[in-house]
Amino acid sequence: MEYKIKIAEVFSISPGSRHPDEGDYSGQEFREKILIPMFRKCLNAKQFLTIDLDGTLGYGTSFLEEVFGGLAREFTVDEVLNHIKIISNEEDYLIDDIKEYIKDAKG
Amino acid sequence: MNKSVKKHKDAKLLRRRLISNQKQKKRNKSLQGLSKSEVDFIKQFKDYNKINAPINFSFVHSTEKTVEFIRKIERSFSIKQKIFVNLERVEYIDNSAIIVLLSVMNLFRSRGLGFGGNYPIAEDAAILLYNSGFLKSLFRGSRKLTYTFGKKNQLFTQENKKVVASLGHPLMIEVGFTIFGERKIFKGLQRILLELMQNTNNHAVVDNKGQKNWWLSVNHDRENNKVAFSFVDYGVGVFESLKSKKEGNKWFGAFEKVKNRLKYGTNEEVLKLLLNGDLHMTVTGKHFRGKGIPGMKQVLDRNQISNLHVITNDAYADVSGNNYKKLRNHFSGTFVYWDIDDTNQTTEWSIK
Repeated sequence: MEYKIKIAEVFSISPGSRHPDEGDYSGQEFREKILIPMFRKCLNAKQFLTIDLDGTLGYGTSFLEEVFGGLAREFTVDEVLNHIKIISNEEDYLIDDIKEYIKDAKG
Repeated sequence: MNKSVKKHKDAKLLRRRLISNQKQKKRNKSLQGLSKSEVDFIKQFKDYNKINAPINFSFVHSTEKTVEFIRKIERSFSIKQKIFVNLERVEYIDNSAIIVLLSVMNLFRSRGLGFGGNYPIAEDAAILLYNSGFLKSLFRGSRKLTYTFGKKNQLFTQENKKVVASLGHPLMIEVGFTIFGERKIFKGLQRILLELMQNTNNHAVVDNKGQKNWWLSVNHDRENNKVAFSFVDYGVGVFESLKSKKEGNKWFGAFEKVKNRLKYGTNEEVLKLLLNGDLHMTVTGKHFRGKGIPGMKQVLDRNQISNLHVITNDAYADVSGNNYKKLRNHFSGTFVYWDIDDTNQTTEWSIK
């Protein structure tokens, strides 16, 4: 079974800020409602989770850090790095940035 | 009452009456030949502090004089003095000045402090000000952010410092049509807007000074296939915000940490380090990864925007022209200008 999340389809075409009190479609909301439940399933199934960033208007860094750094804070840096794949054909530079947000994540 | 005291008091009263009569005559003389509505207009604002706008009224092109003008308005605001903004002599005005004026005038409106103003005599300047929607925005306030399709000039604001990512959707549709005649995605535009809104949200207020809004002016130049953006966060500004960071914050003591990298220790030098990501690296030991203010320069370096200008506190940066300078006057906030044209990088429309 393939585990895949396309943010533009399951969440929003205009992802917002870090926390819900800062505006709509925050990184925290995405992580808690969509990403974490799916990531748990992937870990249990020992599968990869593919996250597709294309098809949105673009991303702010707070959203990305909260989603991916936050995921590493919830689990571990290694678990996240070893179980997610990022698709970002429209903004390829985001892949490196996200890897660094994960590595820099602090509990 | 002692006779000499009474005599002295009477003389004083007489002097006052004479001066008052003279003043009244002078006032009447100055109103001669004016229509009743003109006289009423002058009388309405007689207690207001009249502040003259610069002839060349542009925050980007005539920064010093425009900041000086804004400072005068701020001074009146700080002592709760009503003001009359005199734009009569303005020969050139642009949207960078209009959005800054709007943000500062909103302080008066929100605190119920009296203010007034007039239009430039120069026709082009008057038309530009009228078409900007300045007055409508000023009196409508900032309760609701609405986008209107088909308008060449629009002003947006949002109270409570909210990050409104969805604004990018209608914006991109229209920017694409103005520049390319079709829908395009401008990832750099979305990035810079989100970083600026987030910056206002996190850093604009140290001690609840003034309004907590951001302001955005979007101006379509269909003849030149260009769209210009001016963003104002009328908060405390970048350096005041940095200096106010408390112990435990990753930016605490940032100025001390970069001291040896500066020639003069001035804010424009720090701004250059900040925009280049060097401040982030020195203070945190890590790459900035697109975050915050250096993320804006990254968007410029990727050719997703052009003509980036940043003005904050006493620092001016024409980032595209690599021209950084110190301002004589201090601007209490952060102003950012950029534009997008057909030479900038875009993404094909993939929004469903």
